[in-house]
Amino acid sequence: MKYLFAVIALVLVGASVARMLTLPDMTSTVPVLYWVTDDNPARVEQVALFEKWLVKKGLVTPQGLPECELRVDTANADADKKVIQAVSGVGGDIMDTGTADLSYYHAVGFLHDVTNAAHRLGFDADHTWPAIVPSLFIDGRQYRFPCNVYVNMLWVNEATFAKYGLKPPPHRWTIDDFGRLGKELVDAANPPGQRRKVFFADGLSAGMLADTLGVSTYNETMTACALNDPRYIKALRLIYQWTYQDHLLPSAADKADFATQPGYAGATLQLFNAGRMAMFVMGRYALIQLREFNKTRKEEGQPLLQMEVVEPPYGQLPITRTGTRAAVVYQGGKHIPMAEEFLAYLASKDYNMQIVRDADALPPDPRYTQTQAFLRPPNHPEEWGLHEQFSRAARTIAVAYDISPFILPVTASRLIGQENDAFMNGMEDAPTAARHMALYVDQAIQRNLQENPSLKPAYAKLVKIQARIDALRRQGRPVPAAWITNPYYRFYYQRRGWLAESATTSAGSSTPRVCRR
Amino acid sequence: MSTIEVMPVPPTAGPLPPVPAADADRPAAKVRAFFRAWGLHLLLAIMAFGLTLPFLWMLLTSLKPLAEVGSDNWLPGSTLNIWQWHWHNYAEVFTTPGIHFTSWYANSLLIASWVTFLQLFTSSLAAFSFARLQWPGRDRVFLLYLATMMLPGLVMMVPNYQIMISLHLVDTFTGLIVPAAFTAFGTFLLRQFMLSIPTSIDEAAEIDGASKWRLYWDIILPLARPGLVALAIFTFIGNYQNIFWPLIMLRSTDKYTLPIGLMYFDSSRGQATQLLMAASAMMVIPLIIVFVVLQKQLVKGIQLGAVKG
Amino acid sequence: MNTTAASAPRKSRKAWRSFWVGIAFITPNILGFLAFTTIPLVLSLAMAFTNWDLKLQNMFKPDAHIQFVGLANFVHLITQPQFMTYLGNTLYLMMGIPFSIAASLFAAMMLSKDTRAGGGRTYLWLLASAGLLVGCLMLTVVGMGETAMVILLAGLAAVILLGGVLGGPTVYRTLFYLPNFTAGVATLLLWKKLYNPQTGPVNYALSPLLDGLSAAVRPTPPLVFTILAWVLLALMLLVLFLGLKRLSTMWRDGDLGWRAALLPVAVLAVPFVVTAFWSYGRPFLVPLAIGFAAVLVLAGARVWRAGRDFAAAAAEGFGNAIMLAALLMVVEFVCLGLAPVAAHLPAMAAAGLEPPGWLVDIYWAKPALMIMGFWAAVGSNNMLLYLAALTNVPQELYEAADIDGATRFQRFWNVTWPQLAPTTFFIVVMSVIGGLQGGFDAARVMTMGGPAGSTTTLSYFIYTEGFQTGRLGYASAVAWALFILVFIITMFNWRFGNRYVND
Repeated sequence: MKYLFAVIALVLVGASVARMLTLPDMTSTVPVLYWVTDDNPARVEQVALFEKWLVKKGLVTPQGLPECELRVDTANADADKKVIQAVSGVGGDIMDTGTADLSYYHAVGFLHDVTNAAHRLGFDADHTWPAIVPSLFIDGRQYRFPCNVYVNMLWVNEATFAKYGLKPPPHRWTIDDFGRLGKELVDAANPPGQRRKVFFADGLSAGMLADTLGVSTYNETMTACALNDPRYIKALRLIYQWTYQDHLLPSAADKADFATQPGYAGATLQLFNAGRMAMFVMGRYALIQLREFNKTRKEEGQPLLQMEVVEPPYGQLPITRTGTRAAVVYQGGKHIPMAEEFLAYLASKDYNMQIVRDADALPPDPRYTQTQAFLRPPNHPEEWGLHEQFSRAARTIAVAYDISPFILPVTASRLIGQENDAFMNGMEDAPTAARHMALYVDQAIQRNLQENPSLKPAYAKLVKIQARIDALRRQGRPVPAAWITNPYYRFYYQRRGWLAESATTSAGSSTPRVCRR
Repeated sequence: MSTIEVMPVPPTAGPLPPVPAADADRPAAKVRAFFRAWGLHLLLAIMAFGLTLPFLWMLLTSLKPLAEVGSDNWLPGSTLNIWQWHWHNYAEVFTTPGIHFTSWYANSLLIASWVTFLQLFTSSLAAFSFARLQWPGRDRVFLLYLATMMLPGLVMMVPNYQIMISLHLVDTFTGLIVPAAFTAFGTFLLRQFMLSIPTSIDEAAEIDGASKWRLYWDIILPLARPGLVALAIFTFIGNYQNIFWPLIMLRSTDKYTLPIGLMYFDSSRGQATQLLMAASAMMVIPLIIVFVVLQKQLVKGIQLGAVKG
Repeated sequence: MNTTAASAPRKSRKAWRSFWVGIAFITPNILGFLAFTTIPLVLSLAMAFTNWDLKLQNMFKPDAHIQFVGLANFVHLITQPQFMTYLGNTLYLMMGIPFSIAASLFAAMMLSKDTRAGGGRTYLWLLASAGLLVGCLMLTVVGMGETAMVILLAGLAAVILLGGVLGGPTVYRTLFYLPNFTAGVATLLLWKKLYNPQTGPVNYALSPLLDGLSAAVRPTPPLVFTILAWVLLALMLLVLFLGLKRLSTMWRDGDLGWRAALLPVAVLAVPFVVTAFWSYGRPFLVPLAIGFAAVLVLAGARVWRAGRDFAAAAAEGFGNAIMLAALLMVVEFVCLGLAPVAAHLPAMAAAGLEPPGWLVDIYWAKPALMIMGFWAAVGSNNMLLYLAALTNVPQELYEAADIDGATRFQRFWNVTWPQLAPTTFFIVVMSVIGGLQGGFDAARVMTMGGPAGSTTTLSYFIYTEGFQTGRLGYASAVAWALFILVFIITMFNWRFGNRYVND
């Protein structure tokens, strides 16, 4: 027994020493920047490009090496890790953040204000899509710059429509058309009395329908939840009808198929490829997976996917949402100026063209979507004509998500999601679900204000403005654009001609004015 | 120590006597014994079948092409012709850029082995004290130990991480091994095992003039072997699969453990579920080996030899 | 700390010596324990009484200070209706524990038998299995399409049987333990697939059964089902009666003390109390209450008439009684749950019986998780512990029991079960701790706590409400509330179970 113990101990020590010796030498002569992002082979290329870019820019050590070394820390999927590390003083120098993360991280306070650097180094609001700008700024200050920008559109498998003798949908179409065409397709594709195998579309939600009907999650000043509204109730009922009566959309039961997490890819794209899902909602990044399918099809001698991209169906006005994966600079980092240079790199041609090639959504800078490499990728002639759909939508109908500063997005989406579940499970009717959503979100806002009194002055001011907006709207009079902080309503009011100022201030203007001034 | 003999019993002797009864020569009894034996086999096989299904599914999914991963048919390519299955998925796990499969494998094995080794040592010492020694306040201290398990670990994570930072253990293997080496769980488990060993042995040892250390090392530890083996299995598997703590602690790609590294296959790059399953299947191999080697020890009954005067 | 030793100085020195020896042995463990468990533990306790919110107080906000808020977090916790809902979810899921323990014990007992004694006919079975295998291989060559899956599963069964015959218990043990190796990755995914309402095998198997059932139900007069519902309720009362009868027998034989009997009786009564708060149960409330009272009186009369043959300490026999009561309570709950189903069956059958939506259905999500837990328990760590413990039961005890002419059940109840007590104690304590802290992985991977929060357990609540939103103080308060709950239950186990164990 003694010998056994000793032998095991020796073996373990030996193995440890061997492992230590084989670990690559991680000491570096130059400062090391950590980039907290997701696990993705594209990052290797992007890191190499960054170091080349540094050399090109002359940002080098006396020996001619890049002035810093960029290392990838792959934990983007785990938001808790980022927060725990950041508040412990050891966050990554650069961190990728999702669209909705900004308000939480800003509230925690570990984000470095990059406004001045952005002007100096050229990655301010003029270098990206105007529609996404509200997602980069808080209180008129810039905190991040996009790694990529996505716009949700409907991907169409034309072969699926052709198979059932139907014409694919037009570029712009209404929700009535959607319901009609959808019924034709699922009725033709699914023999009566059998399990339904073919669906019309995936990714449509009550929120998306509400967007086109004229109501968003929060009101104009984002001080309260706006979902207790007949238009939202209509959206809820439509989704229910399309799911459980017409079977256009897969139900929760249908979707509980494969994906572990609701998110990228999962079963939807597989079904799309197999001709069992005629359409789905996603950004340009769907191509990463779709190209894989086409590669397999090529190898097996099958015809390539015949794809088209159209706008989501609209009710009152065509609209879609845009989001981003954007890089922030950690306030506690040791090399903040270098991290800021990394953000400048994200605005550079080298990086943008990499995104263009890789089809990882839209490049941060819209100018690179005018290139042939974007519009007509030489290796993928089958995709010609798809790419500009995204860049055009980003310029015309895309709106940033409304993220209220008075409630954490994760809390709001949980409360709304629970009521949505209750409605879809038949436990509540649509008006009750909508009323509860508004009630619970508003309660959470009040609790947040209670815990965080520093938010109260801004909140009180905005509540007053909201009252004035409501008064003006009741009289049918236009509202000054500066009063509206919610990017959705700014867009909506402008399209409806309800803005008091001239129509030039659209979602397409380039000055950042997200803020509560 | 010659007065006390510890004799392992041959593994065939279970707690219940073997099925062929003493009167096995009578035909009727023979038939009954036959059906009883095979009934048991069938029952075990059916239960094993149900428990093996996830594993089978994992293996089959690991042999599918990507496009078929979501399909309801378990068979790769809907065929039993094994030559059409995608065996090269396994090679692809090693060749995918960004995947340091062998490094991560080594890291996981190393960390899990160290934790198991250290934990067996510290836990058995403490368990010996709580189970076999009489000292004032013993049970109260033990209850405190037990109580620490009752708090959900999630809320201790932030303070624990701060401690790791102040000890400069972030992004090191030490930071993964050392905190896991001291657990109340192991102590509790071994204490329960040591309690079931008759106290007469201690008294005999004391008469022999054996020190407490010898009592622990030469007598109780060998007798508690099933408990030690069970703890070794649990600890090894648990730490090999652990995901939450390494995720927060590690930063360098080369130091990743397998569960962290495998998250890559489910990234924004798209889900390569077939590769994830292939990698998981390979990840399981050491666990099966450890289990098959150790499980015999688990049921090797301990017969306490008579205490000779 | 040490009152007995104070009286005699000589003894005291010895006591101190043994104290230091005892401490010396726990030192290696306790040092690491202090650093990595105790300090964070104390910190988190302190946090529970503060308003620490990562958003408000952290290293980037030097002006903001964490404030002591007393019991505010706990007050908020109790006044928040969600907490009770999630506590209810947690307790609901914990009802599977007695069955899980029973399943692991059953599996261990099966596995500890010697399976290699084949009665001398092993070769026949070898031949049969080999034939099945060869058949499968031949079909492989032919390349069957639709039946391929069936063949594959048959092949698996043949391989298992063959392996079991050749390799004996080692093979079975390894196969039983397999789910633990793939835990997390494949298992949860697979169960999600199995539970898929449309394509999952579970509903695939259920659909024809339900179709047949609704076809059978439609022509049957509804009265039959009303009667069935009442039969189920009568069954529930019968289970209560049997439980009380067993307890009273234990009481009579001196195996159960009066203090130890209180909680088991209360546990048996829980389903009847729940009826009053359950909308579907209310129509049955009055008759059930009358029946409950009648059974109670009946059992009370029994106890009073029979008297006691042997005296018992007040706390004697708690462990056995509570296990029995917990198991029967779940049976009562099953009867109670099925009764309204039976009553409403004609109406449901008229519309056509649909198989449940399992994980995406508000009512079925929790039972679905419980079934999964039960499956996982068969080959769990508990099974291994029981396996090891079973091996250590002295053979002489069985021989003695055989000489007394004990039946199989008596052998188990009087020999095996008491010998397993230390292991059972460990398993019960760990199961209760695990159960109250459980549900996190399943919620995170399979259901995201939904639908509509029906699978959100307290641990997932701590994660979402506290952790995801940075409210560390509040999260700690929830965790410590949970701690108090676990501690009380464990103290019960300790006071009663441990005494029994240490005999």
